[in-house]
Amino acid sequence: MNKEEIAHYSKQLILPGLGIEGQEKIKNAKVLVVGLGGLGCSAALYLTAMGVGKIGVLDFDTVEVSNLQRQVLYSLTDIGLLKAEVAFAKLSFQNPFVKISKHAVKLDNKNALDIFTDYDIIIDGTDNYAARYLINDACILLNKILIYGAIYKFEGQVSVFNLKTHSVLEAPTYRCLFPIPAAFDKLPNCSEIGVVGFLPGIIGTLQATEAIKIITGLGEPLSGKLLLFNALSSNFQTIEFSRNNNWIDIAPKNNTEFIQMDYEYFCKAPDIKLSNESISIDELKFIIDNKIDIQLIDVREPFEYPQIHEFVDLHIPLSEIYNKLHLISDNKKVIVYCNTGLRSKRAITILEKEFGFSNLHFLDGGALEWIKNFPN
Amino acid sequence: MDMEVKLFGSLSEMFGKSILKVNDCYDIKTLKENLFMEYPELKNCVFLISVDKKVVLNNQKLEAENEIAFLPPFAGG
Repeated sequence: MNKEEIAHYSKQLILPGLGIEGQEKIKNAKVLVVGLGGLGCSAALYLTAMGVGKIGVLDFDTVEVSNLQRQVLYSLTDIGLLKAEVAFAKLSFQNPFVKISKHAVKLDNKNALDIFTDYDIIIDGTDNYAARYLINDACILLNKILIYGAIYKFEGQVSVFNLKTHSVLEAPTYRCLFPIPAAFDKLPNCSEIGVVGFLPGIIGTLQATEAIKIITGLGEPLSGKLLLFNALSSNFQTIEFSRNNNWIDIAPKNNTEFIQMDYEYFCKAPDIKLSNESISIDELKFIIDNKIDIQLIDVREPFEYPQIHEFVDLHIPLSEIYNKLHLISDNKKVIVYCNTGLRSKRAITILEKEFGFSNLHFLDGGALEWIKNFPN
Repeated sequence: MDMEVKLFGSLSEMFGKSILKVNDCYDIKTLKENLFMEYPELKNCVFLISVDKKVVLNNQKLEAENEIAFLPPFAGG
């Protein structure tokens, strides 16, 4: 650090536990902020102010007037401009000792691994489940630390995923908290349900706080802890959780599986009503244990996990169901399963409506519920 | 045995309250079954269950003094 930098950061250099050594660590750190909405704006502002050496800003979207009450990097004159461009200009001006890299792209499973490679810590400031699972899985594959933040109306959540240390070789991830996307909720995003301006400011700042703690080694990061904040009751609390390998096993295992994964589909929210054509995992367990003659069909794609060793099943991915109709029994009881019960339900609807099957049942909760209750 | 379940995010909105009163639920399994029966729409929701500020994955016994919470994921940013 030169004299100007020492003067610039003097107020944090005198803090016990931070000092020149801590500031050097901050300067050497590389943090990517994915999503430049409310969370991303506030996280990026503080990371820049504090001197994180390299900061990536990623967003494909442009600034809209309705963003301005919470996305504090932008002004009226920025309307219509790319958020990544505006953030790049504002942050570079804010602190000349920081190198800002802009990524004006939509993050997807084709570009995520390449972009993430250049950073140590990824901050998730996105606004949808598909992006959150995608970011989580990319961080697992590349061994990157992920700082999660999410908001709903007046509440927020923060956690740190995949933080491996010399004593913790296997850290919890997003999939350990939420293995199944909240597909059924059909929850709209912030722009549809409303969001109060200060909330992403608080949660994004907490994400920046976690990043600085991890970089400097100060304090205890929120690894294995989900921080909950309620703005209306001014209440903070943390809930502990552990790594769950059964659920991490469902994530893509390598770059090829990652690139093949359809995250939008995984998180889609079709209508589902559970009816009496469902079979519970306990019922299926009974059927298998007693060797009752049924046909079990897996409608997942070939690269999907978990594989369940106890199942002697026929594999017909939903995408191939029209070509493999002849393999489906029309006299035995047929149990169709997928990971959650959604796709199997869809398969049954197709088979019943279009081909007149009446002997089909789907596994309620699917392979995920099975593995949760009867681990391999 | 009277107990309370704290609801977060979309769940507290769905029920129009942040605390659900339940009784005679001696374990997580019964708690879920009873609530699913009473509120079938809950069956279609994804949420974590925590007991005394720890996420629970498997069935476990519940005592009256346990602090139970249902935590849905948030996606907003």
